[in-house]
Amino acid sequence: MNEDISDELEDLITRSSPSRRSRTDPLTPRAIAELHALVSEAERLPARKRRRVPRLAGLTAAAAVIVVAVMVGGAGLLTGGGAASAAAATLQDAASNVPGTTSQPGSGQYTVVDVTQILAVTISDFTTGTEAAESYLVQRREETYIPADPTGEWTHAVYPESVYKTFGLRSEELAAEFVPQNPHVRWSSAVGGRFNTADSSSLAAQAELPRDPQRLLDFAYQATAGQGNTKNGEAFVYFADRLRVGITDPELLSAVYRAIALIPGIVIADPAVDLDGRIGVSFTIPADGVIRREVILDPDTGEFIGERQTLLEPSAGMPAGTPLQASVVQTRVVDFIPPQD
Amino acid sequence: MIADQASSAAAKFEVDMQGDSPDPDQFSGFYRSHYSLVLAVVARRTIGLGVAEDITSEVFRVAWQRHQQGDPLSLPWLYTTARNLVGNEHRRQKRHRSLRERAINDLRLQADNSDTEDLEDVRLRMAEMQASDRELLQMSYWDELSAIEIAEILGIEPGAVRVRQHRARARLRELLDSAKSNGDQR
Repeated sequence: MNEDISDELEDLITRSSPSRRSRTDPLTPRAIAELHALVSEAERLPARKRRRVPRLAGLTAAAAVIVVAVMVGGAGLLTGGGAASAAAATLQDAASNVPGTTSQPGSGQYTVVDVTQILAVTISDFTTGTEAAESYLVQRREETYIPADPTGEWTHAVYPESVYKTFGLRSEELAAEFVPQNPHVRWSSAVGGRFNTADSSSLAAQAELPRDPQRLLDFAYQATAGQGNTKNGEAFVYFADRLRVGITDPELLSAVYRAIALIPGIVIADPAVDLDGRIGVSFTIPADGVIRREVILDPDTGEFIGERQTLLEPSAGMPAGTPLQASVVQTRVVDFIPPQD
Repeated sequence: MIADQASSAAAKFEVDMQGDSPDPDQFSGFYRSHYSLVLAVVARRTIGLGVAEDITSEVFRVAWQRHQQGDPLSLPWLYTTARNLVGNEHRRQKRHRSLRERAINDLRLQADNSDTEDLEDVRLRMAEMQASDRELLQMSYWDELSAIEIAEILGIEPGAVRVRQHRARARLRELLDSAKSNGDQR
């Protein structure tokens, strides 16, 4: 066998590998999370995380002829064993890995916060006398264009909503009836991003938030005092809401991760979540309830991937595991706002 | 191309791991050095990345337990443990297929759709080889293990690894040529 033929055969054998994974590939988020779990919790953890079956809290429909409601609320519950310190360590890692500077818009450019969402819509039809509720999922996308000078005019675009998933014939009929057929993008603009001054989770309101993690957590406790089932669960929801809207300041993003790490009871819900094709580690606060709320990020890059709320029990025509809300957030810099139709 | 140089950092690290008390930092270094290799090795021998990740997690969970007990960790131990757990998974999934059928089917299922006939042919002929020859080629060319690493895993001298590699390649070449001439005659 001459040298050329040998080289060719070696190349063929190498390329015949059924997987392109390599020993030099970077660690996956799941691997990082598992490493943290091992070294910080291994002595106390059982071999495998186990899911407890949550107690059904029940979903009651409001007294109205037709109610359209997006269900949001406290987190569900998941792991036994608890991996609080592993979660905190992973969040601290992620906070450290948030790039110190992100691409900032130059003069005339815009930062775009692009949010794609899956949203559950539940419709209770009391006219039948059965209080039966049916649901369907819609997909929607919004973009917020923030000028280089944030005191300037911001632009908001809401793209046409579409049906993402239905659950049977009645669900399909309701989706056809209620999902708007208007194909146009809805545009609005507001100086300084004050589209809705009552919304404290808006991008514009983020400038006011403390950058020190403990002060930020205290701020969240104060802002949510008296709300929800638990103080810590509500603080978590507070941060999840801000992350869902999008955070453009890396210092604030890092502070939010560190503040979440300080919440007692925070755990890793899933070390390898696939949200719209992007893999990350998800975190939650276990609590009794029918909805689990998670924030998902990549600890290796510090990138926030998204947020989701999952139904843990069948309800309103939807099976357990249905995403009541899943948001994927991406930020980029662009030169101009697309022409408005 | 064979990875000819062993990772000296990893090799040194393995010596350092032979301590008496568990050290999270040392274990983390070991984990970060070898996780991707173990995942790649397992992924080539199982179907579905999720299964491969589960098995890899199990490998490192056992490794951590071993480290906590003060036992040494090394690449050969990791590789052998990974292969054993892959074997367990195959036994668990055992249906009514022969080993050869399974090897061929598994490789086909995992193969990239964009693969050429040549690559498919190489996989088929490798599945026909003696297990020891196939293993050696997979360790060298798929798993990117150096001759020194393979020697450690197999408990033989690096020189013997090179001799076996040469023979295994020659056997594969014979099988490929024979299959080609059979195909040409048809």
